[in-house]
Amino acid sequence: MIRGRCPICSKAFAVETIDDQPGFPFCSERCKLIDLGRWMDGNYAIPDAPVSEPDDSESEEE
Amino acid sequence: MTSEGAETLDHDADAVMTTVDDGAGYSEANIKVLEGIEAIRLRPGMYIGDTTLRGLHHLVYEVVDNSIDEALAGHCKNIHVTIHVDGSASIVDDGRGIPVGTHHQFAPMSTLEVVLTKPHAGGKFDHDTYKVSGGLHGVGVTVVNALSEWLEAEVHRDGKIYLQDYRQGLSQGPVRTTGTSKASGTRIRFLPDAEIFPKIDFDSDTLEKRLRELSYLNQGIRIAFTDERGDEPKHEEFFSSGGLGEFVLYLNRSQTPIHTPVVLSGKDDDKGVEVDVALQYNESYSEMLVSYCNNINTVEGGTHLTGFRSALTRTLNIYAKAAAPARNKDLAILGEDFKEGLTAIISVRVPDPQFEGQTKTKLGNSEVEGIVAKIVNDKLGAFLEQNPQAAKKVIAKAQMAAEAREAARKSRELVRNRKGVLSGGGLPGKLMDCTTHDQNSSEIFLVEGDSAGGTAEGGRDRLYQAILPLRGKILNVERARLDRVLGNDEVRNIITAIGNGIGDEEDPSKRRYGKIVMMSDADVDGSHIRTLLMTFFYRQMPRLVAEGHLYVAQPPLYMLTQKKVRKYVQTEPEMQAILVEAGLADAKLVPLGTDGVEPIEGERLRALNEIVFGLDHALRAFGRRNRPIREFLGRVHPSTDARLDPKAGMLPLYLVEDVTAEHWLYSAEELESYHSARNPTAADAEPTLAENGDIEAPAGLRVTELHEVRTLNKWLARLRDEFDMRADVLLPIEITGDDPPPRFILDRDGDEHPLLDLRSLAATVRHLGEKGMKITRFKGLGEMDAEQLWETTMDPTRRTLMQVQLKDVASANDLFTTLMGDDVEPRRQFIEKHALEVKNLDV
Repeated sequence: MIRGRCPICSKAFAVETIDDQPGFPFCSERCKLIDLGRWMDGNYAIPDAPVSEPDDSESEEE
Repeated sequence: MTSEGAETLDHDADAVMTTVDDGAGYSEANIKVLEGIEAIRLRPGMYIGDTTLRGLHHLVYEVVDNSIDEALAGHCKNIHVTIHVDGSASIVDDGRGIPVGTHHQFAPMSTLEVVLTKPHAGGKFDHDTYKVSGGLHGVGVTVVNALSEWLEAEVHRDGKIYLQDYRQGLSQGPVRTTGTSKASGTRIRFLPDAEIFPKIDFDSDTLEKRLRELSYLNQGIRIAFTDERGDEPKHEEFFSSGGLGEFVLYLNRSQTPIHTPVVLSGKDDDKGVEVDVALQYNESYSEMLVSYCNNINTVEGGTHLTGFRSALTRTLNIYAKAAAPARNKDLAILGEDFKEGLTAIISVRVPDPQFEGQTKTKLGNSEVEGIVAKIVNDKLGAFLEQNPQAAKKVIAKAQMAAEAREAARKSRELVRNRKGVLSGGGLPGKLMDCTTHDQNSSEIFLVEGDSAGGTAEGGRDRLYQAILPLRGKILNVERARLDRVLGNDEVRNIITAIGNGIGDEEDPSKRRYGKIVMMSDADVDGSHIRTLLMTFFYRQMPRLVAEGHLYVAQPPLYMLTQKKVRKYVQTEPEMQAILVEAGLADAKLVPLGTDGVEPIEGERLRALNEIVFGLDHALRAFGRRNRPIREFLGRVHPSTDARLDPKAGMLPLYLVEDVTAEHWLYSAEELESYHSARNPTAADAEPTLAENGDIEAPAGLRVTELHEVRTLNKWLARLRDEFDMRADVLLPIEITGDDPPPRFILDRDGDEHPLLDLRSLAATVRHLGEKGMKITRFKGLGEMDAEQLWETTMDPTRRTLMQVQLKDVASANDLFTTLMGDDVEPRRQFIEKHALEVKNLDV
């Protein structure tokens, strides 16, 4: 059993195999298409480490 | 048929003659009647469209429409339609009853007979009687009469019951009085003529549907339906007090609506046009629009529909621009985007409707378009202002539709470009393809970074290894944060190069390479790119992953060179083990200050080093508490004999701070007795865990459980039991005003290294291990040369490839979703955790 939430509309689903649901891992082909559009637009990003000062809370260790 | 009709007429005329004085005038009139009835029977299609089931049911609608007209004029409340066992239909209303007196124009014919035998003779052509009227464009109930084998008209009026019979449109005698009645109304019962209609069986569902529709369109009228045929007679009643609002709910009954119905009504007094609109969006993507003019279902649409559409798009777009900006500013919402999931009913009442089109069900009155548009603009605009929640949902839905439309277009373009792939074109320019077209043996490496791509190109086996360099762009989103993005070109290149299709067309058997290998740096940036890629594969190519075609390359972290022998190391723990092994070889540890103690070497030294390594890690964790380590290590339990007291030499597990002092407690039992000693009566005042992991205790008391001390104690117990040493050896001896003397000497081949404390053993061993060994740490793929990359990461005989499972990409997706989510907290936690990892990696 694969459980998940549609990455676009957050609708929950549970399927036995990925073929049980058209549009897996989305709730629908529609949401999958919207997601594809966002990839193709380069809209997805992952946050990198902050460029602010590194914190010094552990300096005492050494 | 014509001659038969004429004969019937002659016979009929005789019968009428007996009651009517002016025989000559009557027969004259009869000739006209003949023309009317005859014309209808000759070309029924001209009057009811066709003689299929559709036309057949029109007969019932026609009579019902007459009753509705009566109701709209305020004289009728109930209509009852019955399909009888003999296949005939009857329609009863409680209106005024069709007048039975002599018609002023067609005297001496009764008005009832005029209505039933003269086309275009109904009350609906007189605007004073019915302001607006439905019906079959004016042919009226005459058509029903003409196309029926028989028809029976019964009128209750003026305290009497009147009856008249017809056959194929011709009266079988004058209007008769058959009794008295206190009620008023009309009852028309007829059997469709099998000579006209190939099939004369009424369909219950069809009638029900239309009657239900009529009840919604004419709220307040009760319409009953009885089907007496079949084993169990069927009875339904339709009544709507909510009108179109209820109708739209009914149409959406098997859908999931996203807001409550919107009902808009208005009137143009100049033209006498009334407009009623109800609309409701549901979660589906299909549109259901039903339009009516004067109760007639305008299947082909017309001006009222055009007006509605333009006003809907205009009003929603204005609202969207002002109140709900799209996440993508370039995204334009078009009219078609507002169609998705829309269920709407547009009903207009027009005094002089003009119907056009194939089936005469297209409204042609041009003035209606502007009237509908204006009313919808005004009323819908006001509704949106007053119901921002519903408005937001509708706009969001249209934005999604627009986004999907754009995505579909881009995806089509991509596929179109790919068409050229078979002929060699259409592949990404950056792809360095392999020579073979054999799917099984070929591989594609998705390589992070252009320079690493170049190295991989130099190192690969061109025959079966293709390289696609990817650039993880860095996007400066906010001042304090950089985002890693998989650019649009990169995504398109991946899709095109792999060539197995996307979405519902995904077919891994069409992939151009046997193995899809992600190759990125073994650092944080590399892991970000991998997370992005894996999320992409999970969402858009899950089958490719499920079938096991996706892999992760394992580039080494270190290269060790010792006496010209190269060795690659992939993980940090593996590196640690190698260095310790080398550092411990031929080494012995001599404890100082205690005479007669044997040096520690071989397996025992290895075990001791392991203990020290573990202690060092646990002490680092304790360091986060900002408490002096020396002071804490001084708090070991004073017992000396572990056989008598297992706590001997162990560190305290709990710190209890009350108003006056700190108490260090060594076990849960000690904590319990502390509590009961302090407050013996409140035995049930159990301490509970607070959110920060501390134990919430009675006021003024703070209990901290030192979780990492359990690990410390585990190692301390081994140190005590296996080496008879206490925690104090972990720190240098304290001597005021002088350098502390060493506690140990680490001796390797006569090379002596003094150790001030035991804790430094691990680092010293590692340091010794590094001697004579050249260590290269690869911070990225780009730091390797082509040959190194080939022999460590790409050569099938020497590399390690990790096959990616669906669960791996699913958890990458989970992580990504968390990061992309609106929740700030998990995002912050992730970034902080990563800041730590970066530090650890750079140690």
